[in-house]
Amino acid sequence: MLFKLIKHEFIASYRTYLPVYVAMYALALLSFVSFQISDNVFSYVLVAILALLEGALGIFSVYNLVISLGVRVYGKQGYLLMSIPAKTQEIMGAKYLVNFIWILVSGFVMVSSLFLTISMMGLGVNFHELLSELFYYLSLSFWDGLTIVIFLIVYISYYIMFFMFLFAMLNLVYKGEKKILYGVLLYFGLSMVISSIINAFSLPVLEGLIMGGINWTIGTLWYEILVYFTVTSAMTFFTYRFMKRKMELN
Amino acid sequence: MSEMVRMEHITKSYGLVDALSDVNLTLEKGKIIGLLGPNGSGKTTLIKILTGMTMQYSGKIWIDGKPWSSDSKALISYLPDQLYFDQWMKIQDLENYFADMFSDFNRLKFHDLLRKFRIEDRVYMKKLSKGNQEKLQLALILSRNAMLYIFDEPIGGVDPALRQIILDTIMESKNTEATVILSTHQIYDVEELFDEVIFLKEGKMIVHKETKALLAETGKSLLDTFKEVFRYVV
Repeated sequence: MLFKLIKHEFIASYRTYLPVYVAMYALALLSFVSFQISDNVFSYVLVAILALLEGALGIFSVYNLVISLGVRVYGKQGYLLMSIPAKTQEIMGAKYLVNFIWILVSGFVMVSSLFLTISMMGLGVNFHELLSELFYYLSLSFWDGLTIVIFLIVYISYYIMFFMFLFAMLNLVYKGEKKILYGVLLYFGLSMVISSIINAFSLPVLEGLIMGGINWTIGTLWYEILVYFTVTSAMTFFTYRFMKRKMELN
Repeated sequence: MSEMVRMEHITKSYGLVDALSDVNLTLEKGKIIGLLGPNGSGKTTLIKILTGMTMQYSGKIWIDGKPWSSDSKALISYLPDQLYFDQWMKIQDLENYFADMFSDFNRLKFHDLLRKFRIEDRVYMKKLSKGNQEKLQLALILSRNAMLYIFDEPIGGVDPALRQIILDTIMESKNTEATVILSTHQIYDVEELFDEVIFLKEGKMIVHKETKALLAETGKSLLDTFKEVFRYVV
């Protein structure tokens, strides 16, 4: 059932992501061609549009999270999702995995199209050299590379679970028609509370950094990983409980 | 005959208002049950609890002899009182979704029903009229070979001709061993369909009887009995 859910989650979301990716690469390619011909204003306009599109993709990713984790679970479409014989953990798992992959791909598309453009602008940045250096560094220090990858995985997971938890909370506390308003209010409220919790635990590290007592090392990153992992696990647990025991479609 | 559904002490509140109050119910396999009551009587709430659309209630439920769980949904084919399609979907997408999610989904039956309802295939959902979307949803539900069919107001807001087609199709298409729960507040012309009727009033189950026995007891039609029970004009 998990694989079927993942399959249909991809079918539901690829139509919105792929056109944006294609647009970004097309624009990067167009900028490349334009810079090859001449270093004119048009080329810089294309780069500016690409930069705007980069920002739009960030907002777009949040919008898709809202649709995937909010509307398609607790909205009218939820009647279809909740009528299938899937376990709560399977629904959560499918949504988490698919959104995780889209965020990773979106990040890759954003970074690669940006690097592609910058490397063509003749700013002294060589895309190949940059990649070679990165891989060389990672090959020298596998442990450091692994730590960064784990941090990214935990941070993206935190980001997805925050939205999943937000909608589960909204469904629990509010049953009325003004879902968007209450959703936004809850978003800011939850953001503040969860940020405060994270900051409270991250504070000794930050203090250490300021005082020079702790160096910004991979060890520090592991501390951050632990904090984010703990908060994400708590949000996952409560989202599961709310969905399994307190789910209520209007 | 063995039981398909058993509900014990089901109570559901919205704030201070009891939507359902201590409902106890046993439904046997193969029966067609009319869930009747005016708007706000608790019909949809009862159905949502039975189908897992709401998990906030007290009491216990058994489906086909087993305590309610997400596995119970494999036995239930549920038509809600609203449309649940994503507008980007095509009919083909929905067919694939049902075929993947429900092992009892019958593609041939689905295509037969599409032809019967005259719904054009390979069309985006947003291009279909609301009436056709409702018929499509009904076709999907009826294309399953389920043990328990639950219809929440399937004939609400449709014209009399379509109403008859829908009722006939429900009766023809359902698995003969299956239990059918049909909720409606439009009583006329449906009394011959039901083996049993349940009257819900303000969240309380006030009648659950075989239709024939109820009609013999009151000496009236189902519609008149309904009016009397709910103290409408007789």
